[in-house]
Amino acid sequence: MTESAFQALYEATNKSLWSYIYKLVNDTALTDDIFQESFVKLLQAETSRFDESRTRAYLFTIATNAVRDHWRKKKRERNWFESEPGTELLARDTGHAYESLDVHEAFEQLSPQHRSLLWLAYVEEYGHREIAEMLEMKEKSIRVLLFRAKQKFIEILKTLGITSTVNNE
Amino acid sequence: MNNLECTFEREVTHAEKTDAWNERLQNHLQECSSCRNALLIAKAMDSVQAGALQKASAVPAYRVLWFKAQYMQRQERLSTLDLVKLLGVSFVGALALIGIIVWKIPTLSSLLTISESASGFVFHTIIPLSIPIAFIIAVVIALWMYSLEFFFARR
Ligand SMILES: [Zn+2]
Repeated sequence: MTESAFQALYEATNKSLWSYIYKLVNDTALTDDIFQESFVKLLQAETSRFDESRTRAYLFTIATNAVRDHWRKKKRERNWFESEPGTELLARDTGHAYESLDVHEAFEQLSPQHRSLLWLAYVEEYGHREIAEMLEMKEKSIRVLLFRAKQKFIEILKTLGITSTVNNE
Repeated sequence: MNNLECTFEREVTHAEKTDAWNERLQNHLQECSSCRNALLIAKAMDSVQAGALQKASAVPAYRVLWFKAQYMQRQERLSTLDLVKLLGVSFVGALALIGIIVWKIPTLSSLLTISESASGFVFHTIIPLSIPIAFIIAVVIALWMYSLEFFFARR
């Protein structure tokens, strides 16, 4: 990759990637480390045949793997699949317009894996097949996992009373 | 719609992000709870992303990472080259050492041979040949190492 191509890619992706990693690890220093590691690994990889979108997807793959490796090293692999054992959510009145803090609280309750899937699908707008390639899983598995992630998130949002566009039928 | 998601969900998500709604999509939204859930998630994710983006102000300049990667790649190449050089030098050294031992210590060489005729073969054939052979091998290895260095330096 040429320096100018890297500069363009970096300008276009750095904030998105940093935010993604941060929402998976919730630690600024660790986010900085994984963020830098991801770009350096991308530069060391053979990506000359990749187009812009594939390079971006590859960058997110590297970052996701780095986050998983972090848990593996700490022997906390299971935490990738589990929800945070944090504070219990108190049910709130339904129907109020959602506030940013509530949404963040809801998102934090999800497992890192669910957070990763929702981010890739809803923020980065990747399809099932693309996510499956990125996470080296079967498309069918991604479909099921993403469905569960959505159900879980909706359930938490409802518990927090954030239902403005949810039909409670 | 399959049993896990509605086929319009991605379109709904994209419309929410780009504010590009059309009548067909809005009508569909009225009658599809799956898409309304997708819309809620898309809005929530927008909010989550916006919050995270505010914290992402202190990313390093691209050059920092560019040079870091360059430096690491160079270190990696150098360590590969060092290994190749070490192997080459060890091989030539071992050849020379064996040559000197066999040449200078006849007792040892006789121990290495089984009979008089074999000993004669060592002294009259192997030793005179070993010096030019070792020299040729050393030249080949030197050329090989030079080409590797040239190859790595150009990458
Ligand atoms: Zn629908």
